[in-house]
Amino acid sequence: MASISYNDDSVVVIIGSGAGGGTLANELCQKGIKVVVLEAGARQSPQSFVNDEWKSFGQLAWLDPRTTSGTWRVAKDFSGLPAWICKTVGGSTTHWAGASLRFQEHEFRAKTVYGDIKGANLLDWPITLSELAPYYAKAENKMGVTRTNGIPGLPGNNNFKVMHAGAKKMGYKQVHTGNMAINSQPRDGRGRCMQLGFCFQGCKSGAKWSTLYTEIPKAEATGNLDLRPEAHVTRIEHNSKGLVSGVVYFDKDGKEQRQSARVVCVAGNSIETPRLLLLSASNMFRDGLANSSGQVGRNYMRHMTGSVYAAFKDPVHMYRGTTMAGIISDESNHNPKRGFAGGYEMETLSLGLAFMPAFLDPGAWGADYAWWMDNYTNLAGMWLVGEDMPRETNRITLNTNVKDKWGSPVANVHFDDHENDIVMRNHAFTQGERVYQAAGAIKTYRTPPYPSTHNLGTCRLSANARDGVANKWGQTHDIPNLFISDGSQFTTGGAENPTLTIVTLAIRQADYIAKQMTERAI
Amino acid sequence: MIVKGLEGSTFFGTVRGQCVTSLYNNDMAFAAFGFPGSAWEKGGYITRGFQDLKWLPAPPKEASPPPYLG
Repeated sequence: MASISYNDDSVVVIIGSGAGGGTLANELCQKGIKVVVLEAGARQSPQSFVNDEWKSFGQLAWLDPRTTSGTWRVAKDFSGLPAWICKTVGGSTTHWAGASLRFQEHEFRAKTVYGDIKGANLLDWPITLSELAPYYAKAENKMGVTRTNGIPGLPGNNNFKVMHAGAKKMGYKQVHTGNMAINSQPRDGRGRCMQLGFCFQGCKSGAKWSTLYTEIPKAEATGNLDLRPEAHVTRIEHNSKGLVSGVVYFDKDGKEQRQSARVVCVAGNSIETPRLLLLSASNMFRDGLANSSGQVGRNYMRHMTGSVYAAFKDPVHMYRGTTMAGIISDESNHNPKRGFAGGYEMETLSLGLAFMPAFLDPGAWGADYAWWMDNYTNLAGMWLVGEDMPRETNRITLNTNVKDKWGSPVANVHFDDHENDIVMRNHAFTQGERVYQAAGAIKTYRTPPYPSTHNLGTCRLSANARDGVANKWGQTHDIPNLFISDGSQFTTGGAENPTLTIVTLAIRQADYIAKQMTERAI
Repeated sequence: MIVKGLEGSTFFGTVRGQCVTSLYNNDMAFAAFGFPGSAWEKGGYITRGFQDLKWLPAPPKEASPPPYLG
């Protein structure tokens, strides 16, 4: 591990160590560039992970205060927990399920293809699928995505058997155990999946890809990385020329530090990244850094989500094995005849006995609800994930009424479903129930969206500086040495789980940053 | 009926939230409801029935390849 001086202004400072920050750090270190990574969370490991839902949540989740507003049900049921994402080295790659799907070609052109949808702030990405394709390939190889690179698909568990049986009866054709960044055989110095069933609680076998035990150690081995866990960034500073010059943070001893920087890359996930830009407002940048468009924090997307659980006469034991054990992709295309724009994926999901009562139907109680717990071993479940509409009013703002322990206003997450989201969700609920009925379900349950595990779009990429925050490289329009490096970049959400695309963008951004530094453009 | 009348109150919400975590989040409850809890120390489920469901047909191997067992 390198030990980089606070005054070294030749370094790249990356805020966050997840899919974006961790990958970017390794890619830059491999090119010989010195990198300081400031990660708010502590450093865990497969040894310290726990197969216990609430204990793990306490270990890995972002629990610093946030507030919520808007008509979304999360604001009522989980008013202080808009998102289930992580504060730990590796970020949400410790917690994710491993689903690694490429965006579809038309999803990069959502505005052109879907047209002008009232109440939505659609915009085409300033990148095409063909530009990203070689980087998608690198990401799939890096992460070991099954059904790519000669890697066999994973074996399907009982939960997948139920989904598959119902899906086939309904005539669905694109049904399999997924493109997963989970080793089906040993690869890259990590073992193959043991079907533990606690994917969301950190993978104790290391079979699931996470920057924590792949990108970070590889970066450290170059001698170019200085990773500082429990470093909570409060401000990004700039000089009189309007270029960022350093980052202020509180270290693990609670002391305020300043790290100089030649380049700053923000990868704190889509709530903290815009919050940090807003907190860094100054006389020169009164609305926050890189916010001449006013779009910092806006266009927050969380994907159309919901779950369907089903009870059967006979046991399923859905908790045995991978949480996301398989997928139906037939509904992921754009088919406006269904009554909505965009598409959705149907992916198996399982919750343990501790989380099921809390999340099956937040606020619910009584005999009907208890019946579901009684039948726990006979349940199957799926998660519906689809494209939700970017809206200017769905946004992260600073809540000046609530301060965190460092004295900074916390993030408020405001969200209202768009009509398209509601119509799509109802369609997805219906189709999910039909899949399970076709497999013989005696009862089905529509579970509303959980605290968001996919958080996107709040510093979006745009061709024009007035429409977004950063250009096609994630370089902010206003400040050439300030980059957005996480899912905040997403111009639109697509129907696919975001991690593969975040890693892809980071690999590509590293090439660009290295080139810009060589040319002394930044 | 009395409980139904309390529904929606802050007190009700607090009690319900506490019940949800204390009733279901313990080893006795796990045993009663058939959830075995921690799995890694037993080697996971790859040799302990993760695919043992027999009342539906097995998916074809294109959809669900066999597990790698060494």
